[in-house]
Amino acid sequence: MCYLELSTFRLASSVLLIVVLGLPARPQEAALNREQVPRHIAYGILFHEVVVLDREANELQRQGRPAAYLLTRYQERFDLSPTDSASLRNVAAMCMPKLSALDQAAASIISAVKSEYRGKARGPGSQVPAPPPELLRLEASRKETVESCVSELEALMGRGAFAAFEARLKQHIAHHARIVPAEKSAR
Amino acid sequence: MRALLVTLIASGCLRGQNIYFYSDLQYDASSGNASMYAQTGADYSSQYYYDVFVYMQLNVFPEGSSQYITCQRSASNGNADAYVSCSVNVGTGTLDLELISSHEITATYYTYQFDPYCDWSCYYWHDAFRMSFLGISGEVWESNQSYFAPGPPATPVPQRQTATGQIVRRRSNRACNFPASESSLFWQWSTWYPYAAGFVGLLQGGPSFTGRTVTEELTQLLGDTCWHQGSPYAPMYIPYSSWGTWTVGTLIGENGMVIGPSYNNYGLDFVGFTDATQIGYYQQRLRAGYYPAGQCGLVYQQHMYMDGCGGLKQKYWIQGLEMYIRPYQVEAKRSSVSATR
Repeated sequence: MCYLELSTFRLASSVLLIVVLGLPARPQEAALNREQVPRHIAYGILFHEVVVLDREANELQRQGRPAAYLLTRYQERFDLSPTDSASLRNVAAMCMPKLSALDQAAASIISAVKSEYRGKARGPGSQVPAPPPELLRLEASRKETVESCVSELEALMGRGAFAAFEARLKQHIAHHARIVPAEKSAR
Repeated sequence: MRALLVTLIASGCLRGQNIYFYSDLQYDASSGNASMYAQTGADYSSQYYYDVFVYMQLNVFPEGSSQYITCQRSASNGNADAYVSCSVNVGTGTLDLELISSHEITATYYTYQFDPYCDWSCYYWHDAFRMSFLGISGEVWESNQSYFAPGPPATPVPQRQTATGQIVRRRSNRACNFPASESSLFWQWSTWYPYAAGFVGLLQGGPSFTGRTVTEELTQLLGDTCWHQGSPYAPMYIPYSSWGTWTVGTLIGENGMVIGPSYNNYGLDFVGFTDATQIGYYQQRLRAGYYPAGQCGLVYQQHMYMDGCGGLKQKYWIQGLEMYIRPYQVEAKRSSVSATR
């Protein structure tokens, strides 16, 4: 498989809470490469996929083709009740426009810098300036927006059902996503 | 084994960057519909320096007829995530599906050819997009200091550095067997956590389950009975983040190294405690008679699942996980097999 697979430690310890809270992991934890995808990234991926595949489902239905398997996919995958599955899709549909608005604002900043620095002769050693504060603020807003949507989802599902859902989501993301190690990825 | 996603932390100046590859394949064996989605994602701080690209294709292997490729899609984006999706009907006959997605992040920069009659030694490497993020630093090569490129008549020549990755997902509607039962075998104690026992899961009811994915879900039956009011430690528990995933057929040690092939077995699954000091604290209390039962610990129920070939994963077994601290001993128990030290 293409994703990284390592042995797991499933251990009972109050110390593990420290890791969960994001404080420095112990050397052993680092050696296990246990760091997880940030929560807002995981939900960002999920919300986007939900909206895109719902769009696919609508298109299939418009063509008179079966789409039930797409509409119930998260219900089965994350063992959700029909109500919780609908909540997930509704929250994703409500959240994505907010995220898209932030993405567009960020894109205009990024685009301006790239067009300024690409294909134009510059003096020796010139470099693109660090990302402007406004871009970093948008980044923070995106994270807050995702977290706010997640909170809304938790409120709709209830704490118990949400905790079980989130555990399954983490497993799903761990299996389906991959991050390139920065220093070793150049070729 | 566990599939882990590693947060990308750039060395040096770029903090908090996240670049990720993701793909997903849905297949409904009853209707023959397949839907797929692939994304190359980057946060704004990464998009600022890099462009992202994604490509996917679905390889269809129908039994008895020729392989074909469908759902070839690609997308690139300089200012946002790149994603592709596709839905297609591949029929309901026996078949195997393989989704291949390629993901790239690219930094674009320019070399300046300031002498048209020179070759490699006459280029100036303009590192406008900080290649250090990809592990490459910009360099300046000049053949003659009297020429100071860039600038007319120097010609910018675009160069690209790309980090790439590929993800393959497979689905099939072939008959899919599941284990009838499972037993455990104690393998070894952890070298990092002296009170964590590594177990091997032995699957019964084959034929072969090699390559299949085993996952677990845990239910706590008995909370931390060692904990007491005033304890310097928080109650122990197993967090969701520690739920495990393994691939049948290969045993992997705690350092991620392959121990060896093992037919219809998987592991290691570590059960136990991480903090020896905490164990020592509770053992002192046990020896002082604070616990009438003479032991304390935690009990979980371990629900075992296996991937369903082309369909959904299926629960095939339930067993107990028990972790006890005694006055002079620690026990880790998986199903009916225990390890003590």
